[in-house]
Amino acid sequence: MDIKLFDSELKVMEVLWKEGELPAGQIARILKEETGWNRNTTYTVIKKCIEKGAVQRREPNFICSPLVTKEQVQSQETEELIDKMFDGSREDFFASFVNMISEDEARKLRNMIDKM
Amino acid sequence: MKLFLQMSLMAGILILLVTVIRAAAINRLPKRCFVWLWAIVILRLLIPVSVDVEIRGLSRDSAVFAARRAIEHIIPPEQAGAGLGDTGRGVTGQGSTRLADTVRAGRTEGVITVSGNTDGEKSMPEESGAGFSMKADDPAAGTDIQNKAGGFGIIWKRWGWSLILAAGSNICFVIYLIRYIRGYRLLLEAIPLKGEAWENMCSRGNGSKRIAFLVSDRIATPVTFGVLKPRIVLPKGMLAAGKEQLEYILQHEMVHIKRHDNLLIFAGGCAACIHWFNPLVWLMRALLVRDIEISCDEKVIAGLGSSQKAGYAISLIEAAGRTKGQPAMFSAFGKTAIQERIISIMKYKKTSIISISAAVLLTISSLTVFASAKEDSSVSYVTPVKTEAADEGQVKGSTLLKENVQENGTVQMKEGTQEKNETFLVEGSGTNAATLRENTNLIPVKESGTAEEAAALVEDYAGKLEALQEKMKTANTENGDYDKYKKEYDTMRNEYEAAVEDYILKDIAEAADEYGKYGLTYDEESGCFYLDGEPVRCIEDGACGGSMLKGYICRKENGTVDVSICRDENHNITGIEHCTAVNADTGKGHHSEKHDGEGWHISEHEHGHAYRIDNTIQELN
Repeated sequence: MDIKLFDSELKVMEVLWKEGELPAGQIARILKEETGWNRNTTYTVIKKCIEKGAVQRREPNFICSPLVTKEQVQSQETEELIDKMFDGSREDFFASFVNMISEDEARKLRNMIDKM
Repeated sequence: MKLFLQMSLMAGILILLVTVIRAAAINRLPKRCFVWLWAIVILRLLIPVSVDVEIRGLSRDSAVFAARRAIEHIIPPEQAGAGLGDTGRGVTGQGSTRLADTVRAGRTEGVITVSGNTDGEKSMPEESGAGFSMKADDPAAGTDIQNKAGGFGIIWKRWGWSLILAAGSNICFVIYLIRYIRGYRLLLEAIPLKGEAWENMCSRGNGSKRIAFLVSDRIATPVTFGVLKPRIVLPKGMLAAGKEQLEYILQHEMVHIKRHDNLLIFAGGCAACIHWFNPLVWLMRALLVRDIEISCDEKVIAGLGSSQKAGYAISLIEAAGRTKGQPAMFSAFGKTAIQERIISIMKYKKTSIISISAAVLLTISSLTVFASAKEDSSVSYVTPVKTEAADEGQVKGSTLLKENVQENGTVQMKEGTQEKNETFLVEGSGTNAATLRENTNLIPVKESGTAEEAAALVEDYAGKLEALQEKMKTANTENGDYDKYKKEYDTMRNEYEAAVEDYILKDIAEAADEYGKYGLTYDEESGCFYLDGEPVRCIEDGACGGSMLKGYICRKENGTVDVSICRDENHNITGIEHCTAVNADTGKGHHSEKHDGEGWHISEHEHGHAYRIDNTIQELN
């Protein structure tokens, strides 16, 4: 399922991923601290998330729960990046990625691959 | 409403001028100057204030007032005043003679008699004498019938144009506001930029206001918005831009904030909505945006120094590369007309005294857009007269200035100074004008065309109206036939009324020519007839006005003498007779009483008798 999320919507999702389910009012309060958004703005963004199918709304109290996980979104975005910049070749992407990392990180990567 | 259109027109002219100057000299003048000029235009468009400026020697007929006259012709007089509540003068204009006013006043008092009725729907005029007659100057009569024709008809007649203008404005405003609000909401979703570097930037705002920096993934160029809380929103891609570029952007946007450019753009948008019908205003708005950006660039370069020109220009180009062509409701960094900006940046030089003074001059002279030309009220318009020196033949009307009146009160006149005959009010009481009146017989000038021709015209109308009446009698009320005839009738009735008035005036004027020989003169200024210096109350002239009138021309209640004109079969004057007019209480002489609004009747006379010169005593009824 392809969901395209803008930065503002991702902000809302991050709150939900971190805290789990929350009532919308709560989300608004948290984001007011973090981004300075007023209630209306936050609610608008939440509604957009619902429209896009990333968030589910439950009554009473306008409880919001995420319909996608962070990992799902991450891998989706990565796929798109690979398609866009590396012609769909994961190997090319990996090659490029490997050139970015330090010795330490390379070692950790090797461990991860071994465990796969 | 007339004022409103005038506003639009004046602003339009100024817009054209500024556009031309801009095309020619934009790189030779400080760019800020153009922003001032546009601001003046916007003020003109939004503020309904005009300063009347009297211009010496400017006469009514001058071409300066051509636009005003044009507007008067397009918009019916009853709508001219609608809306902004200015005093619109109607199509009939201002140049009516006192005599005309006299006649009109007389008719209101029911003096010049025409009988008729004001009944509702299918009103049939009575026959009296020959042809039609109408109620003496009853303006309510016409509208009465219109009232019954339907409220909408009236609303349209009075407010028609205003409604269209208002509707257009409303639509434009709605569209404008929707786009504005959408843009605003989008910007609200931007995410603040955290970090020490950005914190430092925040305090570089002007004085008390801290600037907030945010980032958004939905804009292509940096945008400034917020009046109370100024915010600069950067596009996501620009975060990676070099320090230098960010510096340029920051400075540019800060100038915008400081100058409150957003407000000016918003005002411009409102002006364009209100004056939606004027394409020049839309042009102005496009140029306004451009000029705001250019003047902003100018300020930044002035601060940074000429050496930075190239760097700044390059960053503009790079930023423009990312532009998706979003319509900006707020000031943006890399907008359209990028070429203009680059050129102006590269051509920048420090402003010289010359260019500043030129700019100031230009701005001040553009303030004249608020002036409303007024004709010179000290100019005396004098009714052309026949003097002994003049020949027979028509004396054509012309505008005379005080200077043309000789010291002995006579006037040297050239024939044919104007194409049309026009008579003018005697205005101003300069000594020359007064002298003129004393030394000559002031005779109302004939309008073009004789009374006979006017009478023929009236008969013509009468006939047509009669025919319409017939049709209305038998017309079908259902299918709109009746309404159609009724409308025709109403319009024609107005024309008829005007024709009657014209005829009466001409007739009186012609008659007055002859009265002069008998010592009966008409004084324009007081609007009164005089018999050897005595003010005349009532003149009876059977031949005057033909069959239209019962032949009474009365004027002043406080006249002291009543006059009766004697004519033979051929309607030539044989003499006049007069007797002392007396008020009802003392009982001498004629009594004249107002009678049922149908005119003055000489109802009884106790002591004086009216008699004809041939000594037949005849009672006047």
